[in-house]
Amino acid sequence: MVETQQGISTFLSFGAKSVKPEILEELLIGRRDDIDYLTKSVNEIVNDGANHQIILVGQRGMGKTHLMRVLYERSRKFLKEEKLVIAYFSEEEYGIAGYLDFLIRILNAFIRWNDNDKESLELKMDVLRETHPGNQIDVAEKIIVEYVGSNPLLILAENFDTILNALGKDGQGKLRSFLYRHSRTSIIATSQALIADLGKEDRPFYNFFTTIYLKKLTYEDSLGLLRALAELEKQENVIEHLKGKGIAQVRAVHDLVKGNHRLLVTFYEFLKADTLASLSKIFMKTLNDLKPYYETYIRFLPQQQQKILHYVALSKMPQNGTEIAKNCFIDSKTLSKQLSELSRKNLIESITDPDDKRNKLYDIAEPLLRISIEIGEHQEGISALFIDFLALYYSFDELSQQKDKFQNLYKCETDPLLRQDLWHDVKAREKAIHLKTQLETNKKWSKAYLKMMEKYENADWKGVIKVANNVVDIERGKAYYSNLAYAHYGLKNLQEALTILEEAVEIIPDESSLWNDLGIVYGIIGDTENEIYALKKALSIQPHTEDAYFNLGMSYMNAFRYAEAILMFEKYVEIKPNPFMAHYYLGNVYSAVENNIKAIFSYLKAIDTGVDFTKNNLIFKQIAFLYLTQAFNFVLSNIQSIDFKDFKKLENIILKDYGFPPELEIVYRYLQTYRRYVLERDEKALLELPKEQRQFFVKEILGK
Amino acid sequence: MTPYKLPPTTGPIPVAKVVGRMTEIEEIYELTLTMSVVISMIRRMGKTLLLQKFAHITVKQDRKNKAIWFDLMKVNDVTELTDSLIVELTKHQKNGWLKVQLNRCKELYNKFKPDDVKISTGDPNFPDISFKLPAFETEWKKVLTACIEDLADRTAEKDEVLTLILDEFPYMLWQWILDGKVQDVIELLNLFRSLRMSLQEKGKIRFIICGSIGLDVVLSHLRKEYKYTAEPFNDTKSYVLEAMLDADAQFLCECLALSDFTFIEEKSICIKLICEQTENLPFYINKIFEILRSTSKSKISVENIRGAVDKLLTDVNDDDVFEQLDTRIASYYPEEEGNLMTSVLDSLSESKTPKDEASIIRELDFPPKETKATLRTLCKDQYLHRTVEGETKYYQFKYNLFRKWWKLNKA
Repeated sequence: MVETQQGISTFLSFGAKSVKPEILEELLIGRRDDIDYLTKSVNEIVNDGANHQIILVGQRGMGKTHLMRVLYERSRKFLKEEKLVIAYFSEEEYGIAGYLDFLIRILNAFIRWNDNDKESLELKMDVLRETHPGNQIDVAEKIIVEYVGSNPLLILAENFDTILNALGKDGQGKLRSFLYRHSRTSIIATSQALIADLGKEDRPFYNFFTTIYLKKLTYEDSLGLLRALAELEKQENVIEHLKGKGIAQVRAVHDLVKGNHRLLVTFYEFLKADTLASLSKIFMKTLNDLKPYYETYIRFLPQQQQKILHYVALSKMPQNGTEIAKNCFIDSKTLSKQLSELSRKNLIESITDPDDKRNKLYDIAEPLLRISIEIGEHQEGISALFIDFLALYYSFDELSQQKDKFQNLYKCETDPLLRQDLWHDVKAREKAIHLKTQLETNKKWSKAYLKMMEKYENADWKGVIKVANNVVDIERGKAYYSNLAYAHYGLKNLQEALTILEEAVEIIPDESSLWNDLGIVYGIIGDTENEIYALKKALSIQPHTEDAYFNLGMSYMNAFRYAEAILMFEKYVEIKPNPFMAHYYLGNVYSAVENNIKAIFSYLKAIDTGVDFTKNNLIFKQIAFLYLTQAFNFVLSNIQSIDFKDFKKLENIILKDYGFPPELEIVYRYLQTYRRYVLERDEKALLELPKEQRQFFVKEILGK
Repeated sequence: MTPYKLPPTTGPIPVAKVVGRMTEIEEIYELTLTMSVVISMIRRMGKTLLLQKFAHITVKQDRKNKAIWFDLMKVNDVTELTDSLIVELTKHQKNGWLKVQLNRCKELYNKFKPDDVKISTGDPNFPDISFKLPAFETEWKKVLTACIEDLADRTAEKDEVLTLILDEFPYMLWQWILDGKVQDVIELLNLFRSLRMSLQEKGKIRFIICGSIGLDVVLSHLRKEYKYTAEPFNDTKSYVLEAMLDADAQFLCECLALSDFTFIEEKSICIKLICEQTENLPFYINKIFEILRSTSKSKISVENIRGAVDKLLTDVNDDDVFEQLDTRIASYYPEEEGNLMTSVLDSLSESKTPKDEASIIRELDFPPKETKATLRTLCKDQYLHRTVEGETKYYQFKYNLFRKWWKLNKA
């Protein structure tokens, strides 16, 4: 059988089994280690005579079917080489009532996937149908064993928990016996939760399988998956969006969907949505399609567990046991038991309270389950989740604009049904704006984040680094990365600082300050090329950033790119008119290009602005005086260009404004001597200088 | 022998790849030349693979005592039992070395089967008989007797012995008890005894009874609950399957390591450490390699090994491998006795050195007689090891690995 292979749109509608293999490979984000392990296992089955019994455990929507399909495709080469026989079950094998049904599913799988053998297998199935019921199991096993021959058999099955439940202890015993009697049989299967029977000592498959737990996607994986989808569909707008503003939106969505593949794919649709009007419809349709899956879960649970799930889902935030017990009217002992059961079924997860590690909080394990419960609860069809999404996804301005737009459309619309839809859209934006305001007002940083900032303020660099690990993903913004990098810099771990900032700009590429910090670190380690790149990037994101101009000016200057350096410093002084350092460096650069007039002008500006700088930047005072000395020396060496009135001014600056510091004493003498000796023709002035200074004055300043 | 590539796994492996255990196989072989054997050990100790290898070697090497392995975990009731035996016997008959006619079986089948039933498998080598018919429910003893007697009548070389390995026989009996078929259990035990006695010399038939539930557990339950008084296995030899010998365990490690593992420290030191930490128990050796593969990217060092052992003992996702130590007590022993067993294990888990019996009795708040009996049961059920110095008995956990787990997770 060859299933018609579809493109990415089928993937987007969750039909992983029908999607082209190359597309499935491209979209294996966050699952490469798992698929590589499985592929290795199949290679070992074929090439090393090994057997593997593996169960992949993951909630609905975590990509199990995707993985199995990729594994099957990668294993096909062994089918062609006739080194392996595969029984690839359907995703939902309904109607398995016992071991015989399981064997028949194997035969059906052979028939479905092997066109060449279809006819002969169907003849054998006819024999099986005619066999006495008491003998059918033996005959079915025999058909399978004959078909497989001396090759290993690999059974790929999904929802194996359901299959084992259907087999019961008796059927499981028979299956286990088959595996031991025909010891070239392997099973790689999936399950939505841990299978209780595999952990029970008195069950046939006790500790028989290797269990692999599929992990939720990390934020980076989520971003990677969405980018991969956009690349495959050649959605240029989305690709660009995901390099800029979309990053923050993905972060919000990732937190909302808890790294669930299927929901992420759902939200990908929003990135592509052509008009805003279609957003809520897409949202509601998709979520309504998913709802029936979960109603079946909930319906068959005991009432108390239903209550607990209901309460936790609608609370939206993780809840502690006390709140759950109170609001569900359940005593604590019973609650504890029910929570264990729900955890075991993978419907609830427990997390350590970040504010008090002794306590646990409980949350819905599957975001899809929460959505299903919420949809059931909401009047007017507006899901609270949709409001959450709008609030996190759009800025205030965008939400306002959308609301205005829908309001206008509503006023003009005459059709009652369409008016109702538009009104819902207006209301949704209003609620989202209100929620966003609340979120901004009530934003509460976690203890870990606050502690990290405190340690940063106290320059406790080791403390910053230690606490940083405990800061949750959603709080890792520019301050987090910048401060962490600085902490490493403080401990002279430059490479570590660099790595952190490089990672930061990958995750938050539209944050100018991070690029600026990155540029600085590159500068420190001497990588001028990257330094300039990073600083230019910072400027491109946020033009007119004074720091970026200054830093870029420095980079260009160090790279001897003087024209560009001048440009940057000039820009800097435009924005920040009295920057001592910038004037000083401009003087340096102008003198390097031998534009002495401008150099003098810049140095004079530096001298002027140095007064405030040295008063307000005590740490840099020493170096400032060094620069000032150099500035004065340049002025002195080009003294013929200075006006008489400037002399007095310079002398007064040193005497009064700078307070006649020792560092500028000699400079002052020279200025004074020149004024008296050259301009006032006082011959005695020269003789008042000590001999060495007199010689220097005559040679370097008078040029004789 | 040169190590061969063996990926870590906790399921069945082809019999040709089962590592080592030849010493144990030869010991069991010697025993079965003259008598039947009962082997017991807790689950996941490698019993089935060892016995499959035993059967394979006896046939492949054309030994005087050949064995056939039967898996009884799949047998749900008496009518399935004989069919299971026949299917397996037929397979070996096809291979040429077993020459059995099954005439008695065929005769019995034809006598009792309903006329409207025709069993046909389309295979001339597969007998067109099945005793999984309602008509045979009341005749199962005759059927089983016929089958075993047919085996006794097989065409055999002089002094040739045939050993029937009944794997998970006690498990099968226990499930029948849980399903309310106690009478079938008792009758089967009695029948087997009489068949064993009558055919041991005549047909040179031996049995190896093997299971993760001790046969003692089943018999003890029958005695307490159903007043069963017979001693159906008092003519058999009890054999305890221990951990692997050092050489076998090290060889197993070398084979597993060939699956793309890298030693980043001295190989012999690492292998020695793995064997030491797992006490040469093959299942746990496999588990350590699995953990090293998933958490240390298949890199083996002393630190990684210690980390893997810690994970095995403390990670809730790996807990199940030891959980049987606790759950089997609740499954197979009455509550009161189970409580005492748990208390004894709690007490002994705290001590790395053996404790004398008197101290244990003093420490626990249970009657001495019951405590002594429980200590004995725990030894028989392979939890504890007993040594005797002079007239004093000392007890400790048989495996330190189990002691550590019990202490960390249960005590």
